[in-house]
Amino acid sequence: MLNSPVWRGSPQLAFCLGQVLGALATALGALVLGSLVRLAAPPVVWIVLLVCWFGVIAVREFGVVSFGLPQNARLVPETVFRHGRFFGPLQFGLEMGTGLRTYVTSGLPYVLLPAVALLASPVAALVAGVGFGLGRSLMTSSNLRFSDDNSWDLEFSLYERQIKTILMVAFATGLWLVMS
Amino acid sequence: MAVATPQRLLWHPLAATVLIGAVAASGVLLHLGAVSAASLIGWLVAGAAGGFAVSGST
Repeated sequence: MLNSPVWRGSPQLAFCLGQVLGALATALGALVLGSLVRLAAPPVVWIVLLVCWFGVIAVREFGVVSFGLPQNARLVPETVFRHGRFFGPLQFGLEMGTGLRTYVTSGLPYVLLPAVALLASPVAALVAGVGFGLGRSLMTSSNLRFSDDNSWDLEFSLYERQIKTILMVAFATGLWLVMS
Repeated sequence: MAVATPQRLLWHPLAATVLIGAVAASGVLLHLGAVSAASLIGWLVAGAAGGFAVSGST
């Protein structure tokens, strides 16, 4: 689907913009809810819990343990494109960027969300939201420029273990920077 | 097997992943240099890693 000609040019930009906006919406929503929850305990308690939760997710990512996480287990319907070449991809991107619209194939967002909710300042939540949207947009951009035959997905699968490892280390580094 | 052109190397999923890792490393350097923006780099990296990690879902 990403390699369709309609994804070139402004639709792609609209899609990426939508992803950033959607991620921002989720980050700000988490911040508002979390600002109430975080009152229940001092920050050190949330930090310890988040580190433990990240450890659980890390071993899950590498298949050591297996358990389900809540997700909207549905594909995005084609009807999202009914709003034209700009607003269609924008809406699609916005829904995808929220992380609530379809499958979530990694556990990392399940650590990021409570981290934003429990530790982030308003500016930090915005930055995390922009980062999430840019991360998703990076996939779209690189997929489209890599080839016209969807082989990017194949390469992702081939190197999935290495990709997971690097992302896990980067994520852990990010959390460490946030908590230190 | 596809030829490894510069375009395919530049936009390879591993290259994108390494880019996120490089930003994380720059955050560590900023932290060691006591630059206050290191915390925000941490949030950016955590967000980007989380966002890119779900690439398989699109």
